[in-house]
Amino acid sequence: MSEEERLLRERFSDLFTWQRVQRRERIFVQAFFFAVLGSLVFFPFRKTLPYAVSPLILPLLFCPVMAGALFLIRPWGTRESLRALFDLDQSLGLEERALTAWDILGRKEKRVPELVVLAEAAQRLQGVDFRLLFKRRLPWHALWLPPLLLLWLLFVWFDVGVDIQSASSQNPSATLAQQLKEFSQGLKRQARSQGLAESLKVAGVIEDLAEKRLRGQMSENKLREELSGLASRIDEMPSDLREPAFSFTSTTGEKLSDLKTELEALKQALFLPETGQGEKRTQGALRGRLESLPRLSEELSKRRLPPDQLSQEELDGILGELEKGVEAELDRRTLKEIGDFLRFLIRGDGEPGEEAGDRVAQGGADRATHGDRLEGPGLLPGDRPGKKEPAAQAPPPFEPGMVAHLKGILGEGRIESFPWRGKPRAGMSVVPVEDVIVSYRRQVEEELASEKIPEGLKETIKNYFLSLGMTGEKPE
Amino acid sequence: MEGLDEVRGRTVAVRRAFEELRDELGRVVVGHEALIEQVFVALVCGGHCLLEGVPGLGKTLLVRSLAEVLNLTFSRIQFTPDLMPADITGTIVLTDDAAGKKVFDFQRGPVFAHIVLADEINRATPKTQSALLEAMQEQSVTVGGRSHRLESPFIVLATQNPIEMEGTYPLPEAQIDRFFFKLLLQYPSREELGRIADLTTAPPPPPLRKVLDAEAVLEIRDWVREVPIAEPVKDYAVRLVMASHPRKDGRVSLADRYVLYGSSPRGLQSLILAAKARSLLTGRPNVSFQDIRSVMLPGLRHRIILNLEADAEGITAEKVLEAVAEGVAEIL
Repeated sequence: MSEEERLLRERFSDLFTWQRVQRRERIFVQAFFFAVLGSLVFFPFRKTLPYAVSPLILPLLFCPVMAGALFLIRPWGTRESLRALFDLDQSLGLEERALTAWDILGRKEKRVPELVVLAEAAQRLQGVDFRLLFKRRLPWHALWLPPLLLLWLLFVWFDVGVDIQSASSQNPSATLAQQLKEFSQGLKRQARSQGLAESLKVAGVIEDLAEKRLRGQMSENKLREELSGLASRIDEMPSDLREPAFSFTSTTGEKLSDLKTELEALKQALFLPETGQGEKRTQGALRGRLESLPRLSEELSKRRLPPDQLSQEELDGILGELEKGVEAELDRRTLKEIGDFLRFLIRGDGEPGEEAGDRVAQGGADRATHGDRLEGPGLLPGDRPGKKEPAAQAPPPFEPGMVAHLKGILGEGRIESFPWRGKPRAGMSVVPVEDVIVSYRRQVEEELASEKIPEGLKETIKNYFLSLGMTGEKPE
Repeated sequence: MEGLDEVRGRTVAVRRAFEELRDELGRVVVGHEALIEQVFVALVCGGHCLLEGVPGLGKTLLVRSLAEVLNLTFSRIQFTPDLMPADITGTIVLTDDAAGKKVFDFQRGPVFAHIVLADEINRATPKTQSALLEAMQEQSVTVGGRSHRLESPFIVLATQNPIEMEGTYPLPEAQIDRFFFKLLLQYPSREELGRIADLTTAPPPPPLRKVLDAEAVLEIRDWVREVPIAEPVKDYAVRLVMASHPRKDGRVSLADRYVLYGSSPRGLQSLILAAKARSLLTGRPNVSFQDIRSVMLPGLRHRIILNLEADAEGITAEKVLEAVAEGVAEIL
């Protein structure tokens, strides 16, 4: 190898190394630019991200992908080497001497005229500093990168708080799983407090499914499939349930709930500390209690089971059967509502509405109270978020003198308001005290079921409300 | 290393010789610098030129002067419809030899010269045209069953008048393709016209100095072929030729629309050979992209056949080739 050849090879190697470094830098800048741009474009669809991924890291996620793609699409090859040599020729006015020399270097045999080209190229390239000749030039993407990045940060800054907190509710997949989880937890609490064995099992299954989805171990479609299967199984479950001695299919949910509360109260009252736990109860004490429990008394008399004509054992047995029947009926209704709720979720034609889930999860008292109305579309009182009911769009015309009746449940659904024309009717607003007491008692039961009230006070509070509702006496 | 110096030396010598030739011709030929270079390029490449221009632009003067400075023989043939092939190639005549015997002797025609100016070649019949074109291609003429070799270097400079096309026999495309270059003579500028007036109305200038001779021209012809060309530069020429075709790789929209047939492979040969010659004339040891570009018009303009649409819209081959040059990148 001649001196010129050696020198040229070194020079070309230096040139290519420097150009490759510059090219790499440009690709990274471009990759980051496109990553930020892609993030901005993707921003409206950030809800589709996995639950744990913050939109803030989107550019960092996109950048390696973009860079990899750019390196893959445009790897350094002969074309890039030729381009570098062409630029060198243009910059130094070599009239393709460098390009020809590079081409000649690759030939096995070199003729004298070709050696002349090598010699001239070597002479011209000796001492050329490529770093000075080809100064670092960033692509136009670099100019747009700072404003784009700023724009991205502004997007994130003004939206990230809402987004991260509400990610679970905004992300459809996360929403479904999260809702399921919350629903199952509420359902579990309620099922435990009311002794709804089948509902408790279903709640456990739903919670497992939700957990799997949240951990990413299950796809959205799979979750929906599982939920669909579960809803079908739930539909079949009531026939499998053990047939109780007493049937409550025609009893309203409110009555069932009251009956359940009274049965529990009676059971607890019979084992009050002053009577001695496990102590033999007296017939008188039992009957005295029964008098203060109107629903239970009503139920016994309806079934022609006067307490004073029953023996202690018979009464115990009847009370036990009654409790089982109430529990079975509550369990059946809860299961039915769970099934309805799951089917609603599976349909996926909109947010199921927090109220719906809450109502089912709140279970027993509240749900059972309006059990008949919960069937079908009436399961969702109020409105689904983001949608309007036709009724809301076109309120009924007000007719003076007629009784205006608004359907709905207090405290649930979206609050709508519209002006009424006409004079209000004079008169007092009266609410029956029984309704208020029943409502209060339900709330108390829920509170008692939660962990907000200390364990030691639960009994006292329960007794207070039992005595308040049944006897009408003032508390001490 | 001695070889290197020799090559360097001859490169420099060619450049200097050409500069001298240009200066010497400049004494009698006003303007036409590019034309002089292109004719010389064709000469050292062994090609022939088709000159197109209106009468009186100095074609004959240019060719005669070129022959004079190159110390080459020159002949001029005025093509007319009644010109016969034998009027060009020569004919066998019955003559007396030294002993007084009657013998057939071949009388050489005007084609037997180094530089032949075929004036208004399109006025002769195709039969006569083909006789000249055969001589151009084979560099020999066959008369009476005997082949007669033409002297080297041999170059034909055929002229065509773009006007007065009545009663002419336009050259077939296949014949035109045999010309290495097609050169256009431009009308002189105001200053050039003034200088022409000065030169032609003053006492005749001293005779031109002989710069080169036939042997030197042949030597240069060999050197031209040795000029190295890089693969990417050659590829550029290939892509230019390809782009002159409609519906081919690297097509240019203008070519796609107006070209009926693109350049033949002879066009590519012309491009590369002429680019090599040009690089030598500029004293460069290698071919550059600019060399290719500068010989593109004379080398390809007569090899592109335009369609009727181009004719109707006044699109010329030059316009198409300019678009081709713009549309093809040096490096892919």
